[in-house]
Amino acid sequence: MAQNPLTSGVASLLVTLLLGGIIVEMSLIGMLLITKTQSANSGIRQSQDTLAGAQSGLDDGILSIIRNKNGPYSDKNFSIGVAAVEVSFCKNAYSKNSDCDTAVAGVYEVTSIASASLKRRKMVAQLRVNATTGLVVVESIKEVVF
Amino acid sequence: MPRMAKLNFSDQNGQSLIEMLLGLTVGAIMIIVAVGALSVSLRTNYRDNFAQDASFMNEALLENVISTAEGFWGQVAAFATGCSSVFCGILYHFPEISKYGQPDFNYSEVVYYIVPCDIANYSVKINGNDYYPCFRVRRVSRAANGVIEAVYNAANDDPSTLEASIKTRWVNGSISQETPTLTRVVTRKQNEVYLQSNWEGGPTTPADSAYTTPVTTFYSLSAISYGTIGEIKLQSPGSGETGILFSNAIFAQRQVTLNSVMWQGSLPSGSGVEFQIASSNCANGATDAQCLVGSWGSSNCFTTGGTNSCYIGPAGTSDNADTYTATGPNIQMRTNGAHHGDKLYFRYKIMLKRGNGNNTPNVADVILNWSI
Repeated sequence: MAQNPLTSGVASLLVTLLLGGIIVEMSLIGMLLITKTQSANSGIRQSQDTLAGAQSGLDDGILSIIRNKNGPYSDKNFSIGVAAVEVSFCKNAYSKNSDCDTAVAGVYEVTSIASASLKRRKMVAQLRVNATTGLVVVESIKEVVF
Repeated sequence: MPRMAKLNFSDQNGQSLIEMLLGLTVGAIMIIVAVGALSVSLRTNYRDNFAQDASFMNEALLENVISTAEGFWGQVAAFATGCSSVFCGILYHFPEISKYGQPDFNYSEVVYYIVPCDIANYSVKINGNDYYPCFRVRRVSRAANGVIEAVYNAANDDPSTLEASIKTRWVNGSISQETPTLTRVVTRKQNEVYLQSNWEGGPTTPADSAYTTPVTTFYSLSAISYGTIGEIKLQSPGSGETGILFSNAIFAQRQVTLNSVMWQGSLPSGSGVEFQIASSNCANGATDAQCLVGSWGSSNCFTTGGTNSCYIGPAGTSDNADTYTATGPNIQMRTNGAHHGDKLYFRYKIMLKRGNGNNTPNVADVILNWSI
């Protein structure tokens, strides 16, 4: 039988392209998954940085109150590692629904928000401050999702 | 489109060599590119597993350092001497092994030894791989408004704040890699107060006693009345315009950093209440390691090269003008940590100054606050 040069091999080329496409597709999916994993690992590190920053802010804020129970306290901003930290205070009050909205004598609150890249983490410490002696007792430290 | 109309997929005639080669070449390029990309990704992912393990370990170990600082501040502060500009390794002894057969990083009683960062015999093994954690501890300075300075300034050193950093190295094949640095500020936020509210026990001069709990005695005084329970005040006008009382030594039971001095009472117009503080690691005020040289005093001060632990003000001198002074009671006067950091014993000197119309300040409480 005579071979038609225009049609011979077409099926083979299509199959090759099809198989190649599938392989490339699978590779892309694999790379995407791996990239996602790497991105998650990078996110973990950023999250660690911001957590360390938020904890630093709390420590710094608590020390401020230990040294000066009367205030006034102005917000603090500083950098630690790759994280930018904002620290704010409530005196004789804590935050229930909004900042410093619930007044309680002797209760102070330190809020620390750290951010690095796209990650942000917020930590809040509640303190009990003796009005006479200035003794500061940390009653709770918690991370707040926001 | 006549050519398309001629396509016949059931044609079993095969293909020419050139077409087969073209198909194989295209396929080979696709496979090579795909395999190459996958290979790079898999290698990166493999490396990332190391990085992930190291990152989690960084977090756990840094937390461990923070815990240690909260219990034994001096142990971590000591790192700031040799490991402030370079990273140091710390040789661990982990007494506990977790159920997974790995070191239990949460175990609190970890023993630390500072070693060079890159020696091979202090690695921590996770999943069969060796990791080399390296630490840096820096002193921190604060501006006048209390904000941490980006660049350390020794003149503004804060002895109650440190910056601790960790990064971890590992070797993957022949390539040495390390995590980014994880950094955190830690402060001496555990505080205690010493409150003296009664002086009726009178002076103990010349006995040089040290007390852990508040007492009713003091070391010596002049022109101050202490007979009324719960207060001290100036004696009658004829006794002088300024009264002075020296406390006994207050024993903090561990090396602490004094944060503030404060008083409660009343301050009539024109009168004054001022403080100077002395601190030492010896009950007798000596300034040498054996507690043999020097004493509590107001001259030959250790801060200016002398051997005595003097009563000094914020500028570090015993000058009568160099005092901790507040505009009234219930105001914490922040003490100079550079002078009163990591000390065991404290003494206060309180000076009462007469005001208008012979008014005398009344002091009901003297309160020292320190960080442990």
